[in-house]
Amino acid sequence: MNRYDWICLNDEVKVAGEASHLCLICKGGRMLCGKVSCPIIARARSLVKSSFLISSESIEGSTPPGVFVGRVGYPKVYVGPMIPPYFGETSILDTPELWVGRSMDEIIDYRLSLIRGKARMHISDASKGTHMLDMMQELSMSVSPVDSEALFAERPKGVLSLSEDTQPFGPSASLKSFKAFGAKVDEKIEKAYYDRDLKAFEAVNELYSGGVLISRIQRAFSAGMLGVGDRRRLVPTRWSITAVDNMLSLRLIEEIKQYDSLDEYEVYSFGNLGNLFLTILMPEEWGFEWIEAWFPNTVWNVEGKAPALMGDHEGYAGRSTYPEVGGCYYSARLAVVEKLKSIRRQAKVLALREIHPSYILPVGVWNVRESVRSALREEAKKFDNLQSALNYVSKFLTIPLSKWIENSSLLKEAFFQRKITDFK
Amino acid sequence: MAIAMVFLAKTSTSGEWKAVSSAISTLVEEATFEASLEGITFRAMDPSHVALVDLLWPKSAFEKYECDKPFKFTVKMEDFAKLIKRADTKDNIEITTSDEMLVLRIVDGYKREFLLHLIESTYGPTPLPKLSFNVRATVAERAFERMLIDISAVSDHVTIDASKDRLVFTGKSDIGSGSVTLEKATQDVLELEVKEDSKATYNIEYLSGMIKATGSASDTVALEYSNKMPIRLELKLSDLGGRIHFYLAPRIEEK
Repeated sequence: MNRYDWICLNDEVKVAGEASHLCLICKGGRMLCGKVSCPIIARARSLVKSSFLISSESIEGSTPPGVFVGRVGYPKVYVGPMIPPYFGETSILDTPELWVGRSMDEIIDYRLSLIRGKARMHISDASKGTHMLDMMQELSMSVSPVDSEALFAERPKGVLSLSEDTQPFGPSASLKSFKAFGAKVDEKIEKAYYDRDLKAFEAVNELYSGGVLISRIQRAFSAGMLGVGDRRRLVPTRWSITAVDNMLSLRLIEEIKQYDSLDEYEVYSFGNLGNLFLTILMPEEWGFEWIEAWFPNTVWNVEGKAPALMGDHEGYAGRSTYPEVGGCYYSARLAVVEKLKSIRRQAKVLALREIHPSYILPVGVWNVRESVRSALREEAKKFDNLQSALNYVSKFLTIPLSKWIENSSLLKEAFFQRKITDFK
Repeated sequence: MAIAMVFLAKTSTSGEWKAVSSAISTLVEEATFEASLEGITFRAMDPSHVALVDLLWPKSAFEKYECDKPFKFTVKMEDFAKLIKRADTKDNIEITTSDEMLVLRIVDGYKREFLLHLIESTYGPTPLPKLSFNVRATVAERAFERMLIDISAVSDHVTIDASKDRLVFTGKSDIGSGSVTLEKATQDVLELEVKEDSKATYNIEYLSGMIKATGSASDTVALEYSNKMPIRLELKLSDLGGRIHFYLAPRIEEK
């Protein structure tokens, strides 16, 4: 299976580059520094040296299934299958729900073998359909890997595509032709696909309540298969991940607001890939805050001397702007409201993430969603007041509590804002 | 509701309902109004219990008011506000109930009638905080709103410092600080009574939400507070009477 090998992912190797506050906001996504490509991503990529060469202009293998929609050139984007050069049970390669607990090496290993084919399409092709897109959409619906063959216009190039939002993937090339054999379609997704009157928001939420994995819903959404017929669009994969996380959590927030508040303070923690996730549920009305702390020498804080903290929050009424901290906000929020829904309670939630230097490559926001989900599956440590909960939390944190309080609207609110009911 | 009852509340303009509906909407998603022989009242806190709205709308403040026995009705504020917004300022507003519906008639030659489903109430009594006020001021609504916008440029919170002759509003954050001074006996401060110099800090978002909501009904705002205690804003619904009291708990930055 390992027809390639690669060295690296060695904690000694540090990614060097121009890190600044801008890097934290951009995370290689918006090119805020004005450069054409992100130097940090480029250097991170160079850490993964692949000697995996694709000698021919064609490839045969079982796609997990994977379909990627790029964002370059929007609204004319590159869409195509992701295929490893081998046959077999490849589902795990594109199912991040299964990656918690896997090492950075394993995850890179899964993704590096995925060759991305690219076909240029207009996002609104999704409302009419084209021969190639129909094939991609059928593939997207498959519940199991699909044997396929792709013919490229040139030899696949590039090593590893990295982003903070999406999972990494391997080389890519323009697609000349593509064939897939025997996709077994997921009936629930198929039903939503044929329902051209069902709004995307409803479709996404129905699939989710029907037990369809988030990564599958996101794939269908991205491939322009959901929503009212003539308004269907292809959605770049990285945007679709956040859009789906957002749509699912919005519906769940409406639901949990009907429940009583929690009775106690609950603390959950979980570590994954050099990241520490701490979640504090407070016995109050719904509210949410997400704060990340990038340590010096981590991807987005390369040259910093001190950890860089950044976060966003929303109150009971929700938010109307995109959080500066990015898509991870919505991934964490989804994990948190899923938990509240399962215990039929509302709570004010503070979710913290410390990113330590051993997190050397961005692997995608699935890491946030799945890690916070994992944290919330652990046994809670319970407290009857905020101070005790925070004292407990500070045992895990490397960054002192005072620094977190300084950066947390929710904690400042909890400490300083009085309530009307205090004046009886 | 088998027994027929009489309820009718009519105002000659829509400003009062617009103010009431937006004031309540800033704090809660569902509202339970109480109608009695004397008029309409409403009282609730926002979900975080930081603010409280208390509406007193006496019979005498309506153009026509009939209610033969006390009852409560609960509406989803988003829907209610949407309907109220359909009215122009000069339009008559008539509210009655019928079965499980609220009936809203907007009349100005062009007659409109909306029926709004009443919802089940999760209503519980809300006691008022026990307060005595050392400062009472009447400030021009425009000056107060402008002050909030100015201070919000530097901070999310405003500290109000009242002394015999003036009100000083300040805000401070990482980026810097700012202050606005309103002097007594000017067009901005119509009234200022200070029993004891007082200073307290409040959340600007709450204050401006409330001021924006009631701006359509009133030119002045009466504010009352004491050192490190909740503030109470009073906004008049119309010259005929009726008022909204808005309480906001202070922010106290000490552990």
